[in-house]
Amino acid sequence: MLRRLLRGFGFVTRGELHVAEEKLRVMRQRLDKTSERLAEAAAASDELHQARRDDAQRYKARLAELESEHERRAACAREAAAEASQRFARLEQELRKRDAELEAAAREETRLEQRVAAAMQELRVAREALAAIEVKLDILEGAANVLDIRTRAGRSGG
Amino acid sequence: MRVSHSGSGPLPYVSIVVTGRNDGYGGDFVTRFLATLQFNHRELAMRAIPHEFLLVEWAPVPGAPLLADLVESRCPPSVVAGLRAVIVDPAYHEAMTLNPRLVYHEFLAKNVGVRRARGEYVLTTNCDVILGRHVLQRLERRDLEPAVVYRASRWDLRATLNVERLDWACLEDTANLSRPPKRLRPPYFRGSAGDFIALDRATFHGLGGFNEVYRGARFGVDANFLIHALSSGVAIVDIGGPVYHIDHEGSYQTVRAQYAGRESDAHYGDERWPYNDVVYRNRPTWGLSGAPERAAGSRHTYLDFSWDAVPPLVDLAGVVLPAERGSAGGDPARRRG
Repeated sequence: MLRRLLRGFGFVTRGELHVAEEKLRVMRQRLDKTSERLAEAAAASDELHQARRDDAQRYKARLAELESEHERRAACAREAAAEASQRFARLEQELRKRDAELEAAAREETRLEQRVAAAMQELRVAREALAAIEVKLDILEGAANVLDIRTRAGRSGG
Repeated sequence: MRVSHSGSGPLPYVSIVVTGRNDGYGGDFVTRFLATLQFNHRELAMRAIPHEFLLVEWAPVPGAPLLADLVESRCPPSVVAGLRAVIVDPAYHEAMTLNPRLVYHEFLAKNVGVRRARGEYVLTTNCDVILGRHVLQRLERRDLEPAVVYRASRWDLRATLNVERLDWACLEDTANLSRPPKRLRPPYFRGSAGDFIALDRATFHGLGGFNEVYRGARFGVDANFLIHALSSGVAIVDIGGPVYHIDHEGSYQTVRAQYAGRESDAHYGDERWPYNDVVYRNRPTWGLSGAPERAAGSRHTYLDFSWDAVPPLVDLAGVVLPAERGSAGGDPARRRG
């Protein structure tokens, strides 16, 4: 009853006080440790931030390098493309020229073939006409020989 | 036109026109002729092929027995009955030839036979040509077509064979060949054409027979007929099997080399005449169709001489160029220099 009353007036027993003091001491220790850890964490965080800043710095530098390289290569590619384009145009022109030459050669070949065919036909006709003349001459020569023999035989017989 | 088609009985499917005379050509001509005639007749008869042999004795040798008479005296009656003979006065040879060296106008003689043939088809061949089995089968089947010239390749057999003892085993034994056979090549199927040209009679007559305008050679006249036929739109085919011929002395194959360099002296005429390049248009009286005929019995006919039947010595209008050609033209290599 008394204890309850004293407690009501904010009084505690010695034991309770010791317990409370002990709890307080533990709490303080834990607080100190936590503060230490917090300091360590802050230091680590700072360190991490620094590392990230360093990384970012490196990446930025590398990016600049790459951009520069990309720009250089793009310039080279543009230059090569322009050159290729010019070359392509030249080749296309050359090709068109050769196509035209080939077509002209094909036309000439066709014309020559037609001329050869016509010449061969003329040759065949001429050869046959010559053969006909040859046969006719043979006939005339044969007839002359036969008539000559008959005439001589007639004369010697008569 | 005085051409007779004497002969009795139904019209034969094929008239086989041969020509020759008893002049000892190629050695024992009579033996070869009679043996070949009997062999061919026997094989035709065995297959019941209606046929007639039409023998044209062109300018027979005076004093020598006629081949027709020798057939009558030496052959069985069935052979005699199947043969008609036309004996041509030697004066026709003298009147028609354009080459005094040419001793025998084979194709003028064949024209005499073609003109007088009675068969649906006419086969012009030679006295010593033996019909092959395939040829006989075609005739037996009677599947020849009109307006088609049929050719057969000639297989030459060794001269040592006994012509009087021929049989199929002997003929078809390739060991007996005297030289490799030549394959007939389109479009003309030339090569020994005088030994086998078969054609329906109407087309043969339409073409006017063999060339009678150029009478300076007998060599090449057969090939010239093929040019003429193709040029006239008549097809030429290989009948599909050979005929056989036994080598003998005096054949073209054996004497050709003797005339190398002096071709115009050959007894068969100058082989270089351009028979591949020109054709001909015979007179309507080709084949001595206007010659006076004198029958001697039912199977012998004499053609007596008449100048009226003789074509002009020179008929230059009859030398014409081919109208159309196959794939092959003439042969420039054969031309005279």
